[in-house]
Amino acid sequence: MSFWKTEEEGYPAGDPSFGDDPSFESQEKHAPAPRSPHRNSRSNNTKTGFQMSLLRINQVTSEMSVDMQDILSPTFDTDTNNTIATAPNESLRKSPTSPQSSTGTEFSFLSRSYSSDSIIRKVEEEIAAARLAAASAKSRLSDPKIPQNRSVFSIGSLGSGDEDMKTILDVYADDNDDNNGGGDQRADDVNQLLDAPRTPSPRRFAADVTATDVFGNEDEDTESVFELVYVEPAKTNDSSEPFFDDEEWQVDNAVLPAPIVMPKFEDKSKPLEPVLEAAETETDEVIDNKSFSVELLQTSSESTPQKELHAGIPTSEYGVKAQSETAEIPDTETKYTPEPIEARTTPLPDKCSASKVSPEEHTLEDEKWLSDFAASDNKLRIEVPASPVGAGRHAGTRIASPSTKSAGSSSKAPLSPSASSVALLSKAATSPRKRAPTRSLRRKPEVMRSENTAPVLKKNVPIDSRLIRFGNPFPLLKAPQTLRDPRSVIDEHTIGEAMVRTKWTKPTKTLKQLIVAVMGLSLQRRSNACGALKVLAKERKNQLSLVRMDSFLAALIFAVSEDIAPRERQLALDARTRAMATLHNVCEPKENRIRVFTHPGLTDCLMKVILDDLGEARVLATGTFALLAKTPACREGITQTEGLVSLLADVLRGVRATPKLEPREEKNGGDVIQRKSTEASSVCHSDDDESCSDSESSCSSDDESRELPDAGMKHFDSVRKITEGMTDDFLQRTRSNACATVLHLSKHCPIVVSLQSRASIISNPHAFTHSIVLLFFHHRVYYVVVHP
Amino acid sequence: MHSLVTVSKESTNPIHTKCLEIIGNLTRFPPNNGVLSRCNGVVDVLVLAAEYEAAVDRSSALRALQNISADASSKSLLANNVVLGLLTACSMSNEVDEKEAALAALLNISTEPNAVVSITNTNNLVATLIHLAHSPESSSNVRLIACEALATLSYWLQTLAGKGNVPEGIPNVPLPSQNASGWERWT
Repeated sequence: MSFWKTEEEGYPAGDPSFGDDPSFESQEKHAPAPRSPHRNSRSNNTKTGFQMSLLRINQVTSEMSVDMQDILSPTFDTDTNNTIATAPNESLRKSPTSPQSSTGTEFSFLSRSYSSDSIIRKVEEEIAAARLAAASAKSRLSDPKIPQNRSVFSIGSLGSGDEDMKTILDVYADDNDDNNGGGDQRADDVNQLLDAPRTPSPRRFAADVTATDVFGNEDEDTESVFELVYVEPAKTNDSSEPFFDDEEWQVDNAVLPAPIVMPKFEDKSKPLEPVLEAAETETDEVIDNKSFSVELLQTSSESTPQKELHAGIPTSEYGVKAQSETAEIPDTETKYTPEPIEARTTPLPDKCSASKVSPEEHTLEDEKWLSDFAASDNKLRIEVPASPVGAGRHAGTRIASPSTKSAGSSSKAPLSPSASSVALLSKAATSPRKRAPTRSLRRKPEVMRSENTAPVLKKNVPIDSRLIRFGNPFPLLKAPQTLRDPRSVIDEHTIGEAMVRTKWTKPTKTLKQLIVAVMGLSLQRRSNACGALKVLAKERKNQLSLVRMDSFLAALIFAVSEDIAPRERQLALDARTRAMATLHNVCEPKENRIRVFTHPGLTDCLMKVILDDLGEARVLATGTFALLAKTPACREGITQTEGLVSLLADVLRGVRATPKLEPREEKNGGDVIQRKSTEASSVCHSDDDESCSDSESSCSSDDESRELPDAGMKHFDSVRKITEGMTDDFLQRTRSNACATVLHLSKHCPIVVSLQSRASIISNPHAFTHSIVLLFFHHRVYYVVVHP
Repeated sequence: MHSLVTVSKESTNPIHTKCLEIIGNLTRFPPNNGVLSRCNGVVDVLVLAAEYEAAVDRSSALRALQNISADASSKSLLANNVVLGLLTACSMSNEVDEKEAALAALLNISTEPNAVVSITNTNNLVATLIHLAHSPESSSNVRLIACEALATLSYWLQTLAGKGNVPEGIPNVPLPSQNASGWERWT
């Protein structure tokens, strides 16, 4: 069993105070390792670094240091095998930390990763010293000889799973001296304290360390408490078990900017031998580059809720991966090999304990010491009066005086200037009196991050290792469902052109006369004949038969598409309206729609009516389109009609029609009027005798009838006025029918709306003048320009 | 389309309902949505019609918005406070059809990563989703859509967070760490 000892200065060779310790005597037999000159130089350099993230410095006042038990007690946790270091000193936290400061000996107190043989030897010494000091730790605290105004450094070392370790170094540093002259005095005080005869039991040695010494900030002259409390590890040789419990290594970010998580050494299979060889053959700096980190345990009351917060997070995921990326030291050595990202945890070597002993080495005395250690609040403290910066530095130098040069390891790399306190502690571990016989300390903590100093990243660490990770990330999204090919959709919903096989029937004699009259030149007779067919087409039975009658649809289309003469405009409009009404009626049965729609010239005549007419014929024309559009087989044909959709859009928007006048009628207006007036009189007689008188008088043009102050004309004009007064109603009805037509068309799938000159429209919204409706029909694209 | 848009704005004209229905039918064909969303005034009239008194008009408009929002290229165009605010308000409608349509449109828009900021900036949107996801009065379909929208939003937020790098000096702990930070706290 071996223990840590901080510095050999407190225990000179042959000190009777250690004579009664068998373990110490056994360790005395070991030849002291030669101290590395480099270590000495580092000892002289008070700027040696100390990674503040691993030490929590409690800046205490004199009153606080009196009640040191209260300060230190929260840091001790018997349930955890962890080293607890606290560094609440704000000024110390601000101290710069050199990455190189975390050499192999600096953090041997905090972790099990040690590399230097000298450290190992020192550890043995410290352990031996600590055993003796354990019994009198409490009494030492109450010793009135110890200055009350002091900083307390309580440093404990870790023990591995297969070893027992307990070393606590309490450093009491006075804060009375200034930086100029107080250093020597402090050093003298320390020497006096160290050289003073001691009782056998308290293994206490003094180290002149101040906070400024530790953190290299000479401007700071404050009292600090370093607590490195190591809890007795579990006495187990099972190296497979993780040594540290991540949940116990929680950090309060209020004190420490970020936690450095003690790694969970899962990768036990990682070979340690190369590291051991490097540690033996070369220097400590080789080991310094090995990644290591320790998560500090918050000793304040906030540590408990912090644990609770982290309880829900997988420990291995939360704690292990975080440490290696943040806590690292810029390696100055070439042997450093960054670990893979997947295994970011640096495995704690199972043999890397300073107090590594075999189970057989446990003696009764050891057990007794353990009990004493537990009775003494599980802390062994090495007290050193506080000293100012200069004194501390000087004391540190003196502690690492050449007289104690016996460390076996020699470091070629320059020492970090900010690891004074750690160097102090490491020198204690490299006492020449006691050579560590083991190779257990193979690794040292690589990273000791100051609270306010950003740690340096490892070299060769991929950049992506700094990516944010999530404890419970979402699974990757599936690829979005791809849409079907529009062509396949259109093909699926395309009905196809309806094939109508019409067997025309011969009209009866009466119907034949009517059809002839409809197709005649006399507007009056045409109008009367259209009226007769209109009445016949109101019945459903007749609707089905009339459509299949030869020349019936052709006669109606002729009557509808006939131009309107100005002089006989009313007669022509009446004939058109009646013919249009007949068409509308015969389109009501679904069986007739395809026959009507497929008749040549139907769509053209309907479009002409929509464009020219202002009255009821326009309403009926749009209504006819609406009826035809109700049949899916007709929709595609309607959309194929060029200009129909745009025309419907105009009607929908309320654009009024612009009637056209026939130039032919303008030239021969007199003759036509005369001829048509005679025809009209005959039609009137044939249609209705009661209306004959009125029709005769109205055979003339509308303008003429209005000019004549006849009573009959007045009556006729009143009917026209009523009709003209219904223009708005007709327009609304036309819009409704057009809307119905478009609505039916919009229910057809293969309609693709596109815009022409999309870029220009986007750049200039006011330039939106027309749109194009692309229509896919039988793999052919049709488009209709829709004018607003 | 211009005629349809014009007539649809005529709330006093009965045919505006049919025009909205026509627009809704046009949106049923997916390739049309990319064009319709960029057509001047279509989205505006749909937003306007979603506030009409007639339930049929509102339903048609919201269904049309739902279909348009399903288009990948149209999501960013719809991710504005006007549309999102409208959809948020309609999500609390008593009409089941309107509610489902509005909520589905929100879900469609939420699948666009660029819309995350707009969605989070819209008042009461996230609160509405949470309410609908946990309201016992909501139908199962509505709950499912609301939960999916929330999950989608959180996914994008996590994705955005995951793209960042941990600054040097900050431990790369798995997030969320739930660590509280303070300034010079006396701990």
